[in-house]
Amino acid sequence: MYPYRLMVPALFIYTAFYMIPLVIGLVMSFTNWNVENLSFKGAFLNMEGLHFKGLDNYLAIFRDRHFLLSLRNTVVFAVATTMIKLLAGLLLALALNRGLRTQKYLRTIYYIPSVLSYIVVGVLFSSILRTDGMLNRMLGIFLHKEIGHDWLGSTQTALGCIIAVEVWKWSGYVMTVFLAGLQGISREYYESAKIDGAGSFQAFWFITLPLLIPSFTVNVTMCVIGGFKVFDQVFVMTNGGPGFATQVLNTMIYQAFSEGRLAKSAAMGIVLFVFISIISVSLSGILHRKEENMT
Amino acid sequence: MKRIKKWMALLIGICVLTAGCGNGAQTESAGTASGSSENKEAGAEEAAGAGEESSESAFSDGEKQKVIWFTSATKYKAAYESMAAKLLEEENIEIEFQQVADDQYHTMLKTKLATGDAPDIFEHNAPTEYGTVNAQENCVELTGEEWVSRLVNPDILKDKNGKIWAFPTESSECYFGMYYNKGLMEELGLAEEMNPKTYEEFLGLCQKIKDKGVVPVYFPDKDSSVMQCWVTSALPIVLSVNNPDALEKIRVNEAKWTDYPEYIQVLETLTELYEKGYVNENHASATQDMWKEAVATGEAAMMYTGEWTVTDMLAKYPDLELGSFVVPFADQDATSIGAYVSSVYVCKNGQNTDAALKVLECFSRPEYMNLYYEQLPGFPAFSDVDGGQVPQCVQSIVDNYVETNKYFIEMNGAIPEMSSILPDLWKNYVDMVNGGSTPLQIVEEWQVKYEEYMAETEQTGF
Repeated sequence: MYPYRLMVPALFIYTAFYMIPLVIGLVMSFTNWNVENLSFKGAFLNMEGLHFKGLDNYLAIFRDRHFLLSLRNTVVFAVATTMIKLLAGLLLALALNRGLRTQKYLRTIYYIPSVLSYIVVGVLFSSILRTDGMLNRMLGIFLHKEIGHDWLGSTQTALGCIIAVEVWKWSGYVMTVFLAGLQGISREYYESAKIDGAGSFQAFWFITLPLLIPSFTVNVTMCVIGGFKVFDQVFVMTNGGPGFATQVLNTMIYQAFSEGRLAKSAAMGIVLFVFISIISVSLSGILHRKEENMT
Repeated sequence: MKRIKKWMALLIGICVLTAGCGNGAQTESAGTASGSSENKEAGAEEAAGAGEESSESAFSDGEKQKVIWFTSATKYKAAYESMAAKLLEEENIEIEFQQVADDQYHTMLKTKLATGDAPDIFEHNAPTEYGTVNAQENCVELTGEEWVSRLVNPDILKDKNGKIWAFPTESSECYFGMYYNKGLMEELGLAEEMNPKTYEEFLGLCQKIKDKGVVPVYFPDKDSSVMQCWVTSALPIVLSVNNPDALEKIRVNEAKWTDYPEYIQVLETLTELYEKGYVNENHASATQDMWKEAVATGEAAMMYTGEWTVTDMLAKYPDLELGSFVVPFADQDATSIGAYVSSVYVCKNGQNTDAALKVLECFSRPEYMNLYYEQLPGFPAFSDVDGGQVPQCVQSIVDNYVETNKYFIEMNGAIPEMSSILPDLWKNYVDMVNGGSTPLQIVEEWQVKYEEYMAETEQTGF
């Protein structure tokens, strides 16, 4: 319908800002590239002093206990936040699709956290989660005893707190996608089900859920990719600490880059890219097949 | 209405596309600034190694110049403000101080330098960090500057080729010690015990303080650069007993970190403090501000640090009286000092290199530096500057240990080539005290990383 040449600007930007850096990063991840041998000849990278190292960088990162820990933390974060956000978003969408008088205001209130910057959210929750912060004070009131737990300073609770903050921030967004899906379901299905004697739960299970699969596809894909790309909230709230308890892949990449170990950070970036690609392509395939089966 | 929406969308799209493309203007009028991008390289080369340019009128009579000074919350001193105000008045150069949190400073600085988003001036130690910041590539050489001839000890700033890449704000070399709240110790009745002669006595002191309901030692482990002071200062002292040349051997790959049980021994002294409850419970999320406040207000008794923290604290809490003693690691009566000074660097690729060099030239003058030392008494880098009354707690360490040669060079300073990867090691220390690693694991993993890095950067012996 439209000439292919209209794709040129978008393709140019995509190639210049995504494909070329990706290829350069991939090539450099097999070298000894670091800040000591980083220099430029005019606008181009000076390749003198670079040596091919084969898979050494990749072997080194997979032998690094902290890298494996950051990989584990990233997977835990992505899975946990995806599941909880989907559940919370779905429940909110169902509740705010029932024709309440205040539902427009409530939808806005629940959506607002997703437009806040991570700096603001990080500073806010760092204060709330302090030893003498609001959370401990409220718990103290309910439990009638002094609570002095250091939520972000404890290796047991730091990652959980970051997951909770992520869920708080993005559940509203997930809710809006589900709301759009819910409003696309024809009322006739529910009326027919009611006539046939179906209860609320049966209507939800056999009508609502299957017809929400496209919304699930969108939400799952975005939540999983966003979960694996986690950086801001960890960087602002704990910077990977205490120790390495909340270290994730992107914070490790950032730290390796800042240490000047450019090839190593490129290798970690490639690993993350491959990881996300495999998981998101697999998920998309599974969910699209379900959509097709349904139609 | 549709047409209006289309034009609005187009306008917003253009704004979004072009928003990230510009650089902030450093001067208020284009064309007159000597720091313009076309002349940057030429200006930097001209200034380096050359004498002082006859620039007194170039800045004060010309358009207002702006210089970006990148620093961290701890490195930044309020005393800079009075110097900057004088500079603005006399030279028409405005300094914009950009501060970041301590735990992010090194990372952000390295990122800025690597991605070409360099400030005009940044703060860092010298000469130990010359490699970390890749001074030869990123910074203007300052060897030929006029103020070099007025330095008390220019040799301390020189790299292996005899070049200077940084301007020292002080000549102090990092005098480590246990600094304590004198008033609190008198209240607790422990004032007479604040000079333990053996390590067991030191632990006994900590227990007595703990028994009185006060935190013996406060560590703000959210910033891993504080706790590592313990290890970097203790290790050369402990090694001096049986292996005084260990660090030099490790530096040239004639020995490994794992060859010396003293390293594990030092790490165990650190974990012992935490296990025995001598350290604040909220150490993992405690910040440097909380640390200083805790000691100043009497919540905690002692802090292990260097003189830079002392001058900072005394400026913030003028009624506070601090005492000091040297921790007797391995029962030795010695301290460690750093082989570096607090310094500022001028970036080659900053927006206004000439103005940045002018800033350093002005700051080196007694009428500027005296403003600094009026507020923060210390050890000036320049022979014609009055350092003011140095706090007695710092002077006592200098008199009893530095002047009498009872000191060693700290671990970090003994091998400056590994500076870039030290922050990772420090995080490992924090992980260790939180139970995530053992001392043995730390040392073994450090050996692997150290060897890898030194080989990658082609250091001697690797």
